[in-house]
Amino acid sequence: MKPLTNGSWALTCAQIMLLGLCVCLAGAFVAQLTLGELPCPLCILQRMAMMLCALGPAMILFEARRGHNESAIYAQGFGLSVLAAILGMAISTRQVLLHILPGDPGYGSAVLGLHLYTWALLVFICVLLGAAVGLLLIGTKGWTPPPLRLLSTLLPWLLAGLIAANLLSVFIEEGLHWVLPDDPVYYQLLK
Amino acid sequence: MDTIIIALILTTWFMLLRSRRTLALGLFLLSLLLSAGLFAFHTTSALPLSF
Repeated sequence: MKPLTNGSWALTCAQIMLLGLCVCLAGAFVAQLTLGELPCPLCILQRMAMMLCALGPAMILFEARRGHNESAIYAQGFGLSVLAAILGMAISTRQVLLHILPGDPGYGSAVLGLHLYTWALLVFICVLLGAAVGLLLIGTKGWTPPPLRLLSTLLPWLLAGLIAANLLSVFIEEGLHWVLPDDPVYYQLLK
Repeated sequence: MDTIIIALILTTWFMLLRSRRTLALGLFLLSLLLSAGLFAFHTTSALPLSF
C-alpha cells in the first residue's frame, strides 16, 4: 500500500472519526478490566455498533492508502457508519430509558458523571454528525496534519486489535451459551 | 451469538484489508442484521408481552 498523502477534508474527518471510536472502544475495555464490571448484553451490543461504525472510516482509509479517492468510496464508508450509528442509538436509548426513573442507580459505575450507555448515546450522535460533515466535505482539497497521518497508518490495526480483544472477552464471558445473561456477574467460561 | 457477530465483524475488517469490498459490505449488513435481531430478542424477552 502507498503511504497516505494529503486527501480531502473528508479523509481527515474519517481519520478523526476512527480515532474517536478507537478511544471509546479502548476506554470501555479499560473500564471493564479496571473496575471489574462485566458488560451486560446491551453494553456488548453497543460495542458491536461502535465497531461497525468504525468499519466505514477504516474502509475509507484502506482505499485512500491504495490511491482510491473516488466519491463513491467516501459515500459508502460514511453510509456504513450512519447505519451502524442508528442501530447504536436505538440500543443506547433503550438502556438509558431502562434506568431513567428517579432513584435508579443505573447499571455499572458512572464515568465523569455519566454511565457508559449515556456516553455511548452521545458517541453515536457524534458519529452521525461526523458522517454528515464528512459527506459535505467530499471533493474538497484538504490537509492532514502529520501526527494524524501517522496515526491513520496505525488506527485500522488498533481497531482490529480492539475487535479481537472484544471477541476474546465476550467468548470468555458468554462461554458456550447462545446469549449473555441479563446481569452477568462472572465469566461463564471460567466458572 | 455475540461471539459469532464479533467474529463476523473481524472477518469484515479482513475483507476490507484485502479490498474485497462487495463481500465486506455483505458481511457488514449480515452483522448489522444479526445485532438488530439480538437487540430485538433482548428487548422483547424483558417485556411482559403475550402474543
